[in-house]
Amino acid sequence: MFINWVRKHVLVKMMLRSLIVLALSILFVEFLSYKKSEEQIVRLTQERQQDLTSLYAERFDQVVTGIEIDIQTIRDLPSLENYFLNRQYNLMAEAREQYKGIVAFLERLYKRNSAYVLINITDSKGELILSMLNGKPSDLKLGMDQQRASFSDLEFLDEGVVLLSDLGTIALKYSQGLGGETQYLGRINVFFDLSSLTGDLSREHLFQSGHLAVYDGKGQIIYDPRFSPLSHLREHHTALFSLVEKPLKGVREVAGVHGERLLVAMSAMKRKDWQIAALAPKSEMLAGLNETRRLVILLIAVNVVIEFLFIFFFTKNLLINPIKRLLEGTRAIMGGAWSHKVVMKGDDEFSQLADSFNYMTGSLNRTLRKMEESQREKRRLNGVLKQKIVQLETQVEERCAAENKLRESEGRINAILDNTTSVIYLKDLNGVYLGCNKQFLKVFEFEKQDVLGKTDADLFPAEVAVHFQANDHRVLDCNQPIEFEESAYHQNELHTYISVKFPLKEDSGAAYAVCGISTEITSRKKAQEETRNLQNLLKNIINSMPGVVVSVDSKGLVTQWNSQAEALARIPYEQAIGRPLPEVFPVLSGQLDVEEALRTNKPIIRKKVYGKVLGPDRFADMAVYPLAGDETSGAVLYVEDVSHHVKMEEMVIHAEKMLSIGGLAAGMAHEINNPLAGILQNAQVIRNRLTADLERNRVMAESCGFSLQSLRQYLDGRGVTSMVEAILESGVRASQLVENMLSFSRKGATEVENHHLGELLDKTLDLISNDYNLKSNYDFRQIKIIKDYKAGLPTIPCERTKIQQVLLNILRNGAQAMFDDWGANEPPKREAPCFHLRLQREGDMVRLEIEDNGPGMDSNVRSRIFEPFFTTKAVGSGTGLGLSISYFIITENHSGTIAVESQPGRGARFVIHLPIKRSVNSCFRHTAS
Amino acid sequence: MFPSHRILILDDEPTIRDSLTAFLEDFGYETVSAPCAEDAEKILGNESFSLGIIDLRLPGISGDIFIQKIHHQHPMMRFLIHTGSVEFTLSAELGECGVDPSHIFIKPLKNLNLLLDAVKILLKGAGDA
Repeated sequence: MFINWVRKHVLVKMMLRSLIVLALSILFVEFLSYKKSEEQIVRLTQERQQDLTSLYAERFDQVVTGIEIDIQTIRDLPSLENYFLNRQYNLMAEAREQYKGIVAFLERLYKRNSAYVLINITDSKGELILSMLNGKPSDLKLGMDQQRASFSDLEFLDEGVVLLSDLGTIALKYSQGLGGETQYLGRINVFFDLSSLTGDLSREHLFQSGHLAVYDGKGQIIYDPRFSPLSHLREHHTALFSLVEKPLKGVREVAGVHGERLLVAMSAMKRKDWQIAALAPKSEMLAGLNETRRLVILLIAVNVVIEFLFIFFFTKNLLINPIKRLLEGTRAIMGGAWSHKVVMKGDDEFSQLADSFNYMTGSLNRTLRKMEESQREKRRLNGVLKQKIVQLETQVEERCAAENKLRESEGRINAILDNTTSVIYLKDLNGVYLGCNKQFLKVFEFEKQDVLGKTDADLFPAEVAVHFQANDHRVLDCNQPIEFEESAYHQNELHTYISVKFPLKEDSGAAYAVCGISTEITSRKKAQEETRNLQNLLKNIINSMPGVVVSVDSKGLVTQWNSQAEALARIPYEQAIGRPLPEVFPVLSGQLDVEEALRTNKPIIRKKVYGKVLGPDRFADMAVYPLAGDETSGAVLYVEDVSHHVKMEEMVIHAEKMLSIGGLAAGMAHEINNPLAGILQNAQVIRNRLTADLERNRVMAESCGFSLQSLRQYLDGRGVTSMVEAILESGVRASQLVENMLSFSRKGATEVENHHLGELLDKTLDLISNDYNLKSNYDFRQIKIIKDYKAGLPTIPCERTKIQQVLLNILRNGAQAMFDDWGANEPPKREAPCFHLRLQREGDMVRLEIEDNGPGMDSNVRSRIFEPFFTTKAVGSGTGLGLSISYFIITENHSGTIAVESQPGRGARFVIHLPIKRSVNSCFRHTAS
Repeated sequence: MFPSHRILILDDEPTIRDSLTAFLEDFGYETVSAPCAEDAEKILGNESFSLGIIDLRLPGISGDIFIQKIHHQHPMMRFLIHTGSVEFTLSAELGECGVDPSHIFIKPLKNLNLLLDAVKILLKGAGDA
């Protein structure tokens, strides 16, 4: 990519080349100067180093010389010599004086130069005389070297460098022998602190890490900040050691401990075999140079850049821009801007070039223009042609598509029209048929040609056509679709249609035709009528039913509602339909759980419900039946008045009870009869044997020695006779009771025979007269009976026992009432209980009246007296069925009537009518349901 | 005194048997009683009786069958029926044995003299024969 870019730009090429040239020249210059500088610096440094080492070598020499002199001075101290002499001659006091003088001198010496850390003076035997440590006398025996102490050399010895370990100091040790030629007196050992020498050294700076060092001739390190003193140089630095071994003048380059280049300058001391060395890393030496060099490079670089830029701009300006402009020009021309002129400033070659270029382009332009024009004209014409062709093609396509669509929709419409079962037709404003569908033709048995162009009047009978036309006109008048019911004959039958006729309108809104769609509803109509008829029938059926008939749908809304329901719920049919049952007939709804029936799909039947739905005092059988069918479509509720049945049932039950009681009674009676017979018979025999005039009695009495008369007297006197009578009476009564009981159980009671009502009445009175009711404590015989039987009454066909039952019941009730009333009053009523019995003939009936003078009944009691279970007596006394059974017997069994007349306080009168003749039907009336 | 016509009393109740026996004996009749038809038959095997007072409800053979049976063997014997059954109706068979409605007495007899009268009538007839 870059190479491409470079290739395309002359400027870049130029710049790159000039860059290279510049760079090279600069580098060359820089390299040379660097090298020169380097040499210079090295040389200078070397010189300096050399000077430095020479300086220090001289200095050290001086110091050593100084030390020597000092030592000589000490040796030459008179006090010292004298001290020895005094000691020798045991002149201690004088010796001590000399001693002090020595000490004073040494103190002054120390003050002058504190490098004299230790000065020992020993005697000839090596015993320490004096030790001055740090300028003060000390007792410490330091720096003693036993070996050398007794050395009797008078020479001045340089004993080299020693370590005073006790002091931790390195010192130069010099010793001087004391004494003359004849005598060796002792020794002075002077320890000169090395650090006073090397201290200066350490302060010298050679570049950064350069330093001075001191080595002795054998390579021992006297001072080198890098290594420990007194160690051997060879161990540390072989290269340096070799320099020391063979010292040469001048600066040499040596490899350092870490491989760096070191410049080493050395100067040797004269007084010792020490060498002062100056070591400096070459790199540091040149450091400055390097810095400078960097600066120079920077400046050069800046210079290069500036020159570069200048070249850049000049080149661009003088060369590139003109070229570019020319290039632009060609491009413009190529692009079609023929009138483009290249503008160039100045008179140089470029502007000349530009001029000729412009001229060239101008003429080219003209020529080309001419050509272009003619081309354009041609093209234009082509274009126009093409467009036209395309247009035509599109039009054709559209036409075809439209035609197809049209055909399709036509086909569809036709299919619809011809396949529908409706009769479709189109007439113009005059009623002339413009079109019709297949069904029309089929139904009316026309051919197409027969219809088109004709009117209804031509095709249909007059009254029908008139009707059609009238409807058409209505549609046109209203300009709206209208629905009609029309009838027409075809296939010799009258068919009914629902016709929808509608105007076909222009865009303006005016109608131009009437279209009609007629759908046959004949069967539907028939069905509707049938439905209506069925509905009516259903309504009639359910209204005819005696009970309440209500039906509900699966949601519990009323769907049927008969007239009984209307009457009881007091809601007419129209208001009941569609409403929820609990709303319209809450009583019924409360009695029958319709929801449950629907849910379980089982009927709920409740029998003999007293006092609900049908009103008070009526018994109802009610049921809800879920409607059978494929799905639960509701339920029907039926309520039937069964009060009558209940009454009957109860009577049956009662009768059966009576029967069973009768049966029981019969059984019992048999059982009782035997012991009763025993009682009665034995009593009679006893009576006979006690009172009758029998042969056997007489015989027996005689043999016992008494007369029957006296026996009779005795028995009478003791009342035995009457007792026996009493036994008999009781027995008879018991047997009467049994007989009465049995009389009710006789199955032969269904026998209808002719009886005289008066006789029956008398017989019944007979029976009652034996009535002794423990509870009420009354005796029927106390009641007055007034009979008024008309003569010549015919017999009546009846069931004897049943009629007796009725009479018994009435008489008992009356007696009970009269006695209760009589006993309740204080004082008792004046009038005693009394029955009036009247018998007479009334038409073809016999009328019997049984009237009492009891407390009577109020209208409430009177109206209910024949009701089953209705009783005015307390609980436990009577079932309340007696009169209802009586009622039943008279009315049902005998086709008679029974009624009661009563006023409170004026007694009661029961009036019974029994027919003299019995119809065949009534004979077969049964009690059982 | 009449010649002692023998009367057979057939009843399962001892009190009835004894009281009837006592009653009839007071009027000079000879009576023998039996508690059941089987015993009565045995007795009839040995002795003859002019009259039988028969209870119908008996432990073994019932009274009416007994009457029919005995009538074959002792055609001259007459019968009075003394029964507790109120629904008793005279069957034809018994009629053939000489029993008619006046010979039927329902227990308990409130007046034994009625029985006595019937006995007298029957035995008079027997006596005459």
